[in-house]
Amino acid sequence: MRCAEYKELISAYVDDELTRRELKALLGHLKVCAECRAEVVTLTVQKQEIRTAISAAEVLTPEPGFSAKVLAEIDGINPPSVDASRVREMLSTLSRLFSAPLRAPAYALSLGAVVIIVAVSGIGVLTKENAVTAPPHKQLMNVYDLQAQGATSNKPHFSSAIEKNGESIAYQHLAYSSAETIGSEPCLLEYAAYATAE
Amino acid sequence: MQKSDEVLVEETRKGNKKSFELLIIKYEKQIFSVIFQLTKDREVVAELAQDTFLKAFRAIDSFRGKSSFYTWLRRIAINNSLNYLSAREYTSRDTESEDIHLKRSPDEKFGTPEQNVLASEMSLMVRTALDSLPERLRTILIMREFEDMSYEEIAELLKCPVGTVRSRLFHARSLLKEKLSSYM
Repeated sequence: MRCAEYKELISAYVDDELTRRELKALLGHLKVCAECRAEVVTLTVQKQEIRTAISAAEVLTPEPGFSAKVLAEIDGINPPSVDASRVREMLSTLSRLFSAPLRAPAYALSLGAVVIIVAVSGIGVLTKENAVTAPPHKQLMNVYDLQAQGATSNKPHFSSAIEKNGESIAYQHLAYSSAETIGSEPCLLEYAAYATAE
Repeated sequence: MQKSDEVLVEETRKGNKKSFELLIIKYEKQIFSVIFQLTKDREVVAELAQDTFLKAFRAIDSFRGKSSFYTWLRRIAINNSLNYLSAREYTSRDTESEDIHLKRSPDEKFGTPEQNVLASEMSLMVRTALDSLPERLRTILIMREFEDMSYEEIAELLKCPVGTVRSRLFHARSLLKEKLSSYM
């Protein structure tokens, strides 16, 4: 190993993040390399300087009443119950979000999603999962509503008929999934929309 | 007696918002601080902090207690900050960080004049150099040096291998060293 490679190890060394084997190799090298020994000193000092600089920087504190403001926001998006009109309103929002006519095949295809066609009991199903994500500020209402319904799976929670000339030609569904995880813990929920042709 | 985080989380799960408010009060300063360190943008800190707590509240059922509540909350705050930074970078790719630094007065970057006087000249130089690093290097150094996060924690959060974290920190430090030597 050359000095250039040891220098990356030195950065991890000052962070105490070397494996035992790497540590052994580095310490062996430091015995014979003055330049790398100097690098250890430089990075150790620099590390301390960074910490001092950060701690000396301005501290921004929340304004009084911040927690109450957050709670008010939680209350505002926490309706006691979700009725049918609210569901309709939400699905209407969904269709506006995607700015596409509510025709199932065109809808799914126009989004450029992968379309899987499955024949189930003579019904053609167009499925598009997790390919559509609404802007974050619009997701919030939907995600919350899904949670308010006690959503615990990826199964559709809201469905509405897509009509043409007064007849149902397809259904649009809204499901949710744990699309993002923080570490190993699912955290941010996003929804997936898909249409089922009749 | 003060309730533990575990108890407050459990009570929040059962619908006790007052318990969640206690968690907010307990951690709001730390969350503001980490967001401000990462974004350097005082205008957005309160909004991102609020969003952090809202997301935590919504996802409280998914918190399984593998880490401490604060560690979990901090991850949400860091994710929020990084998302904000990448959105900002996307919308102002042409003007990037150089302009942002130029537009800010020293007071905005480093605090009140009194604080500046108290801060050593060296700290100011380091801070200036740190702020001038590319976003992805600066944020990783903040995570390591300000938040004391392990390589593994950072890798998990950034969804990248530990080797990438190590390599980025190495580059960040090398670049910082270069910048500092040019100031002296």
